[in-house]
Amino acid sequence: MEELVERARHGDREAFASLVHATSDRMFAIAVRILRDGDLAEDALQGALVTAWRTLPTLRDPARFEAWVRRLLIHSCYAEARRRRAWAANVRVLPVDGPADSDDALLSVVDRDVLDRAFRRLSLEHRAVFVLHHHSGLPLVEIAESLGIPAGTARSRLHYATRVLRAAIEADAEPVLSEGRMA
Amino acid sequence: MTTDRDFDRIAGAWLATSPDEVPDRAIAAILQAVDMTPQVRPRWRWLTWRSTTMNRIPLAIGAAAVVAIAGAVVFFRSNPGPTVGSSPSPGVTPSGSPSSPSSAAAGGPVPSELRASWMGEHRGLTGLAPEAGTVITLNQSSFDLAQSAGSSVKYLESSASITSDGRLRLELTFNTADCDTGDVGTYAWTISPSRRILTITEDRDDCPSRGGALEGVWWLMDCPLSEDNCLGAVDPGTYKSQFITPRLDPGAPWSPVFGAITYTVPDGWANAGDWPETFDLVPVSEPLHDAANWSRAINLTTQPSAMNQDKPCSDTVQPGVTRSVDALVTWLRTVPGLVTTTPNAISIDGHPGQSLDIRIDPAWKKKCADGTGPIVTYMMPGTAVMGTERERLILLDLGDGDVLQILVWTRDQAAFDAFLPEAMPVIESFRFK
Repeated sequence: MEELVERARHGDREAFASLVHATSDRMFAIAVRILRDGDLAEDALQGALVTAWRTLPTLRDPARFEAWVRRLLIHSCYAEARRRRAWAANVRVLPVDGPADSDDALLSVVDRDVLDRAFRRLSLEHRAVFVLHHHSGLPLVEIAESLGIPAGTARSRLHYATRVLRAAIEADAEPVLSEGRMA
Repeated sequence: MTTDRDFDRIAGAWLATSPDEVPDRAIAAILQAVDMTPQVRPRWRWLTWRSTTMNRIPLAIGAAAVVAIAGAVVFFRSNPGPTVGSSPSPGVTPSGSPSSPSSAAAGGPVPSELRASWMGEHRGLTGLAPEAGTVITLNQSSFDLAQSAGSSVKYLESSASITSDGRLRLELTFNTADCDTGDVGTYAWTISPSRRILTITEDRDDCPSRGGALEGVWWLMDCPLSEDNCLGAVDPGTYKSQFITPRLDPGAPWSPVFGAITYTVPDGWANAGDWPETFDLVPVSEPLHDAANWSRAINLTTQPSAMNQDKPCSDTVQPGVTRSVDALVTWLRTVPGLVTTTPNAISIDGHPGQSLDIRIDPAWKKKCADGTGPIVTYMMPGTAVMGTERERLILLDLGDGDVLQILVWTRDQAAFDAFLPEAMPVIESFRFK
């Protein structure tokens, strides 16, 4: 990948196209989870990758390409969401068409709705930390770097987001537990 | 109560229900947008390069460029130029009455003075970005029009020739939405004595959309750096930018805006760079292709941010300094290693701003890791002062939170004193869309 980045830094559009193909699924997966809207996520991804192309000559360390693009993506998510001021009110319910998971049995339709609603009440900044931690599996230090925030801030945002989502599940879980669906 | 492990598994399962693959059409849209987007010149590299000793090759090229440009200036000045860029006096004027385009026989090759890429205003062709400028390219026997921004999408591709009465004849080589292959158009044209401003007037065209798109004034794109998009040396007159977009939010998707900045220059100036975030005007006597060896320039940078002072060349934003003229100027006066004058109020095109002169404290010792001398990097992206350099920094409030940085940069105090009276009238001529 570093060779592609070097070539793209010098204006090779084909090399950059290869980088787009190599990274866009991972980036889209992050954006769609933060924004909870496929169209917004596509726009955010496009904004991030066009910015990446435009400013690629300023990237000093080609090995940091993906982390750099991830940072651009997060900012693009913020910008995209804020540009559409009414998005929170108008956001479409994300279709449940993702891959099946071995833990899927844990997740009832009720859980999904509860998590969806609680997640949308979080700020974009809290969502970003939560997604980068729980979906991308990044350590907090790397999340902090991706977001351009101190590690302590990343930790507190993750703690807050987790607390809000857990509280939402637990508030909803009492009758569910009594029916014995979850041990 | 859910345990931490339960919660992690539930959260993971919930996040896994979202899509993992970006649709192909989104990839196609990204690649198309990239295709229309020029890369930003690495200002940072320019900053670090400009302090290094010139090696023999750029020195030789620079000297050759100066000789060539000086020769060109002598040649051009021997001819009366147009009064302004937008209204050239005719240089070559075809004669004769317009004939029916279909009957106009293809003639000789396109003359050498027309064989170039020419920048023009936005044209109302379907498919062009709403505010983008246009570029026509004429070769010995072909013509096409494209959106300015390095797009590979070509419109109105035609064969080109000169008729016996000196008119430009175009014959469409591909069907378009409203025109057919073989549609012929003939055009009168005039070119300024400097051969930098081309005016095209339609005689007749079987393809109306081509006529509408082609008629008007075109400016020679003679950017000294092949990877750049700019005009290069310009005649005295008033011109418009192609790419710089002062009101674009940092990181926001960009689309070219023709004429975001209008500027007026006297004889002896060049537009040496035009990018979404930066724009350069320099005296034509500078080595235009070699920014590292300029001794003076006017540089515009959109939406500047205070640069973190934890270390030189931090290339990160200074926390706590908002992007406003007052906040940035107040902060600048506290930056270690900078010597600044008292800020003066300034107004350009009705936009308020502040101006202050900047140099480095001679006692300052900090360097960038890859730099060669003491430096203070004070504004993002890539604004710094080092050595004997003298700068005038103007921060302009364009409204709605948009700030434009205008930097008069010179290599030393003597150049600063001599350049400022030339540079300020150009800066004061700026008009913003």
